[in-house]
Amino acid sequence: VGTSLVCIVAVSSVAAIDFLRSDRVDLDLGMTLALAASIGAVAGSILITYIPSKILYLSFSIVLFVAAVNMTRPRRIMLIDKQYGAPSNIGLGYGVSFLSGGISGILGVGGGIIRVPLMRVIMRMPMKIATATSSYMIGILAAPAALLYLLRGDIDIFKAAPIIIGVYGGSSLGAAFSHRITSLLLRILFVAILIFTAYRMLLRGL
Amino acid sequence: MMRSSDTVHLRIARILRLSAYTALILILCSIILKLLDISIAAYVAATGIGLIIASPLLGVIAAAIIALQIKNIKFLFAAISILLIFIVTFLAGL
Repeated sequence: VGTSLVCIVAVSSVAAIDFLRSDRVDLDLGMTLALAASIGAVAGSILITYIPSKILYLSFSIVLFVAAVNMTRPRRIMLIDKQYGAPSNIGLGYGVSFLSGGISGILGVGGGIIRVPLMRVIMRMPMKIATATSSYMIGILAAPAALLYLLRGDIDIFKAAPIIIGVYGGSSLGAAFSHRITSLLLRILFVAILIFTAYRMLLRGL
Repeated sequence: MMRSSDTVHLRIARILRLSAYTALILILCSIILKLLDISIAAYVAATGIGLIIASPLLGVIAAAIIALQIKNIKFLFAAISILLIFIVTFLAGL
């Protein structure tokens, strides 16, 4: 787990370099959403003992299916991309980011799978800005836990080292390639991942 | 939104790049040191990994300093809050 967390931070940091240089990260929003998600994660870790995880898995798989369907509506999406100047429904966005932090803490799923549809559907952000901002946020959110694992000695440093080098290469390539990828293809890939995750959650909930 | 000040993005990107590549060099050095069976290899690798973990934090600290310079209170508040949450989460985990 510790090595995985370090890799997540490495991916986020390396990708963020490219995303920040190409001005695809909404820093202001990313930082405040990360704040809401951090508080949500703390709340989630407190609530985990009170809420049956099966109910959460089932309800969340439905939310992901709905988000996936929403992201496939081409006419609405074209409008979002054309009209974007600033995110909409910021207050609702913070609320859902808080919930996403809590849910990702309880269910152990990555926050990005929740935040990107949230930014896309609720805050009406273009796909490329949503994915870049979410990627930047993930590093901020995963870093404290990664540091704890490192200090506790739970990371096998010499096993992690080659993996991190590979992650650096892959992340740099991915960020560079993302400039060439169209929003449509990015969206199709993301919807496929959403449906897959929703299906897995449904199985866990049943 | 800080969209008008592109330099904020570029400055943070520069800090992230500096720490990311320093960490990469340290990790590569640690592998070479390990192959040569030199005892400091583990410390070098741990420093590299520590630097990777610290990268987002450095980005947030840089954002806080820049926010202070450009007097964006909302952005400064978010950066300081994230740093506080980082510290609290870390201390709670310890």
